[in-house]
Amino acid sequence: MNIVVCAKIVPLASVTIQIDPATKRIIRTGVSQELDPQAAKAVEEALRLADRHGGSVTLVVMGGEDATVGIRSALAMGATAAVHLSDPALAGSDALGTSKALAAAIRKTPFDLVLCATESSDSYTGLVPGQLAQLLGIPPLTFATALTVDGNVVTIKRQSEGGYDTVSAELPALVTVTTGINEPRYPTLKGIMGAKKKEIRKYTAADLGLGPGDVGPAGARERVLTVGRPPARPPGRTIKDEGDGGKQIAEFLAGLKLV
Amino acid sequence: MNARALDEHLEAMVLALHAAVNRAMPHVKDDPALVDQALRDCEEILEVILDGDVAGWLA
Repeated sequence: MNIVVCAKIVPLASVTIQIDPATKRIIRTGVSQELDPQAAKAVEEALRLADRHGGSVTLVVMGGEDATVGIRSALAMGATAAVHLSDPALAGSDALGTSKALAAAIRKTPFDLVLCATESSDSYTGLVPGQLAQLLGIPPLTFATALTVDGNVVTIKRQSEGGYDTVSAELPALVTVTTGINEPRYPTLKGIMGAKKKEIRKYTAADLGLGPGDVGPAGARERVLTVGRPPARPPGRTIKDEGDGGKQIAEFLAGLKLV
Repeated sequence: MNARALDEHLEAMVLALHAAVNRAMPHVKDDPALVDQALRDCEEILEVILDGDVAGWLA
């Protein structure tokens, strides 16, 4: 089974994300980056499937030159190969432009299953997986908390408010995985050294047959109009229990229509 | 010496150490085998860094 994992390389979790006020994009230059912890879960799930069923795991990443460290992390975890979409013409793409580029790259790779995180942990749009499935013409199975493949059918437990739904689709398909699906392995020394020998194919927008109308700022249909901080949270209310604490809490919750 | 390659290699090593610690910490009380393995993996990486065979890392 050939599995493609779409991943994003994001600023380290310990870095406070800064927004460029002019472009309203996340500042990535000069910022230490890593394989998105959400995407690492998709990589882990792909590796487990490949261990069980055989086949390859190919990472597909769109990002600048400094995305290499994050790509190598996935290769060190055990991914077979990687595809890096790196081209200044791709910078400033919106979610749809990103999806077009990823879809074009995936079409160049034989695949049975595409795995993605539900959303990235820097911009959190969650738009790309659905768009990608549409562009590839395959069914999307989303919010997977568990994933199995049996023959030509992929089945997931889809997280829902009340528990989970069991959903299946024939391969090829796209699955988005949730945070709780697994605990990713970490790269070992052997993995790090082995990753150096693994192939990272590089594509530009032109290699993918994409022009300024498809990707980059000119191709973007989304515009970020403003970026601001969330409103300050109102102060909490302290209820002192003088025999009627429970009643006061119940009244407070009832006032918020929570009970 | 390719400074960028060295930077990337050391960053990969440090990220691996970080990931191993992050993987092990939640299991300090419930999975000693996992924690032991993570410690051994960290020790292995640190020994290679301390050896300082830069040419070997980048070979």
